[in-house]
Amino acid sequence: MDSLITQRDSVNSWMFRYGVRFGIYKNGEFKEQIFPFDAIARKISGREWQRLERGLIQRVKALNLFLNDIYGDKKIVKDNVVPEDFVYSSKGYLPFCEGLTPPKNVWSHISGIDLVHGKDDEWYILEDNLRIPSGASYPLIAREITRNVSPETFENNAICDNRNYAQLLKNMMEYVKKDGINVILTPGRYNSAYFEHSYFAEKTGAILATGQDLYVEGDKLYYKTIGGEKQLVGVVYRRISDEYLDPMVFNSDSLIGVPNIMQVYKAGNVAIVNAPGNGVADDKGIYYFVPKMIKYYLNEEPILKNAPTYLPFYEDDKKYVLENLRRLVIKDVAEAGGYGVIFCEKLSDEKFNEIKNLVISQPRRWIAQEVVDFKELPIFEGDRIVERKADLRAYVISGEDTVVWKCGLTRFSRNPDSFIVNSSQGGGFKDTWVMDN
Amino acid sequence: MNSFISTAKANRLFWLARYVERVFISLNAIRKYIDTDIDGATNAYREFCAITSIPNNYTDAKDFRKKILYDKNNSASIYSMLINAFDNGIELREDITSESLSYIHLALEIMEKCAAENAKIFALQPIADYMMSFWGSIDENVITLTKMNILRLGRRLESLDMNLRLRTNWDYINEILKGGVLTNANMLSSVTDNAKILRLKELIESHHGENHGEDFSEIIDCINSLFTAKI
Amino acid sequence: MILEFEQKSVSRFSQPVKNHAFLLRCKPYENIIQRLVSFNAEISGCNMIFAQKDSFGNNVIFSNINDYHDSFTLKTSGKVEVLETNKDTFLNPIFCYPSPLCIWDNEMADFALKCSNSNIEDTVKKICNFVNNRIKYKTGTTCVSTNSLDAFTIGCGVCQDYSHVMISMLRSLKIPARYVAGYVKGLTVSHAWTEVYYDGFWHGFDATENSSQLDGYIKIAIGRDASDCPLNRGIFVGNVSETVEIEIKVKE
Repeated sequence: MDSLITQRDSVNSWMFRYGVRFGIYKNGEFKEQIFPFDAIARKISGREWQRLERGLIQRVKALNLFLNDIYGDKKIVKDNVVPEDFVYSSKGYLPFCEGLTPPKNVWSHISGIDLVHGKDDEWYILEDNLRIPSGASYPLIAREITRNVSPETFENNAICDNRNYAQLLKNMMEYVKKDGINVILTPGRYNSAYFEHSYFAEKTGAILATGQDLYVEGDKLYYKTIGGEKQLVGVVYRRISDEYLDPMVFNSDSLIGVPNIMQVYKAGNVAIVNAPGNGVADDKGIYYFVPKMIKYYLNEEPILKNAPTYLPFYEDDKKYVLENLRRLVIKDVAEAGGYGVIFCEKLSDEKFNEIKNLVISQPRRWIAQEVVDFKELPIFEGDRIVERKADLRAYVISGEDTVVWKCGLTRFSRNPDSFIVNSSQGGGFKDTWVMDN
Repeated sequence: MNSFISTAKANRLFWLARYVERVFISLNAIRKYIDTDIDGATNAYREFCAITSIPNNYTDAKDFRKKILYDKNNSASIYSMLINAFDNGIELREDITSESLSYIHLALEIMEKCAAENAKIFALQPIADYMMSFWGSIDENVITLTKMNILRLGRRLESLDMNLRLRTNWDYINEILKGGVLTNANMLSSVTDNAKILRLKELIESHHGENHGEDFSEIIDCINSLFTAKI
Repeated sequence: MILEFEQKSVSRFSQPVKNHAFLLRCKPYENIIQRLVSFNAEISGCNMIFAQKDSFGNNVIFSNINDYHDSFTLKTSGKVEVLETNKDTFLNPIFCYPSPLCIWDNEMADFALKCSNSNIEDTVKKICNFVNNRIKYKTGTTCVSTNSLDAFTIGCGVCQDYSHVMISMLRSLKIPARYVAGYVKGLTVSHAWTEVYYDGFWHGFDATENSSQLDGYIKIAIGRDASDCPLNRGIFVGNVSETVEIEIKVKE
């Protein structure tokens, strides 16, 4: 590892060379930023990984079954395991998908599961991302570069190769697709993850298209090529969220979507990766029920734990939350990422009472969690090593099989006082080494 | 790598090639004019502006040296040509490969540094080197014939355009036409205007020997309109 | 009862447009209380029309016109038979919850509570009457994306807003309610009303007219609210202004 650390500047210059960036909007202007890479990798032992792997596969299988059930028979609601309320008033629930079955019955093809490693050595799931989880390209390209810059590091350590990610994506697309070519649909270069869209297109051999390059004729989707030739499209790995996907069905102002693509999907002539409607399974309210889903659908005990969570929707939980609010984290169910997360410990009395009243008046809107004291990881700050909070996003690919990519995105916070490691709020990333032992 | 290509991408490939070539040729040409200016108040830069049809907004040779290289807001500057190359290239990663694209990134990095320091033109030599590396990488990595032909057509048309303006000998220009432009254009019949190609051929073949800066506006018009894949 | 209808809508663009994709709900809803006897649709400049059902069971037709055109004409006609005997009993729980355009606050819920009593039918009638009094019919004060809370606050709107407010108040009492868009005898434009679920089936109410006698009403589409079942959506390339003329005729 030492040689890699001394070479860390060359790693960053290679990242620059490949244009490894993410875009952000500051004061209404689009800017591309380097996503800072920290050379000290997070190591996960082979044994520990095996347990994580089993737990993640179990969780994603249950979530896929949940989605299939919710837009189908709704057994879990009828059996009162998940209250109706949490399904039908979820922003991510799409009535359009009622009665629909995606090709090969896969809903969440690419799941980004966020975990933290507690000081008690237990891994806790923080969040499921079943819509458009991004970020896998960063550790993927980082590995390519670090292997190049410091081959001895990889000779001397038994580190599982992570460079099969594009192949995993491709296999999955080939499995779910209908007749036609593979397309990655991007909102365009001014999207924060554009680098990733184009990188995956290069690595999977799919066509990178914008909404304007695709069109619907009847119940088929086509890619427009020069000279008026049309190519039938069989699978769309879309990096556009549900609400912008089809202006005929969802947000009518959307200029980045493909008009009537949902009719093609409904007719079963194209696979959409991930399936529309997944938002109902990854919101912060449904999160509470995932361990129950695992028992319900798989008849298994959950291998990985949720962070201890309470739903003020239930009277008992509400009572507990109000009594212990000062030490809890409150999350707004409707918000995504690091937004709408409130650490009550740090609030002024006035703000605290405001939140307390909101929990009382709108119990459905919130979940409350114990603050998980998670492990810190060493990072470089200049030439100094400091400790910072870090999480892990694991990527689970569901095609013919459900597999966990032997790597992940380890993100750390810049700010020593912050628990929030979301890349949209600053911070950097590390490689994640799954050890082969 | 996929072999399908949309009209928008065809257009970007074409302009990527033109801008990369324009950066390369312009850098070499500007170096010559700056060199001429060294020897006294010849103000050769004025001639450069005139023959390349760019507005002369420069107060003197020093002002020209700075702005023609580094003024991002000046559409005639090397900096803005490079940005244009980048803007087209960034949307073509999967068509030209990350490796080819990386040379544009590297060139831009040099440009940003040199612009901040108002560096002398020799400091921009790595940019010319990267443009050549870019073509080498394209030759190596772009295996789809249509994509390659569009890139080559863009490159050769730009070369034709620049050499015409820079008063290169007509025999040389005829060679560019025969060797690059016609061969590539003929293989791209669905996105080229055959009448324009024939006219271009006719116009250029009627000239031989010294180039005295004849009226070539119709040739330029053919160059700019024979490729028909528009966004 | 057999109802015949004719519908003609013409959109004119200030300049020609192209790549025009559209999705229309213009073919009547079909179920056990409304049978479609005949239907015909014609779209200018478009010879291929595709049909599908959406998840609410509404008929949708869609297609695209890629060439330049400066107007878009949709002509439909048909016959439906409205049956008195069988009632639509299917209940999806989504009609019990807030939806994009049907939301409410405590004030609206309190008003709903004041109308409520042990008799559901009477409660619904009272709410229908309340909404009819509370909202003044006034065009131009609201738009297609106005939600029930805003319409309630400003106190005026059109048939869509009446229906949304009524739906929201009912849902605040946990009474399932849904939105209906359709054609009505005597009206030359489309109309919106409400269906309420109790006693095992759906009952129609028109808050704009304060009526539950919906004779001469043809159901075109249903949804949680208007955003689920717009009668037409289109998108095209061209920066133009658009004028629309619609004429609907319903007769027995």
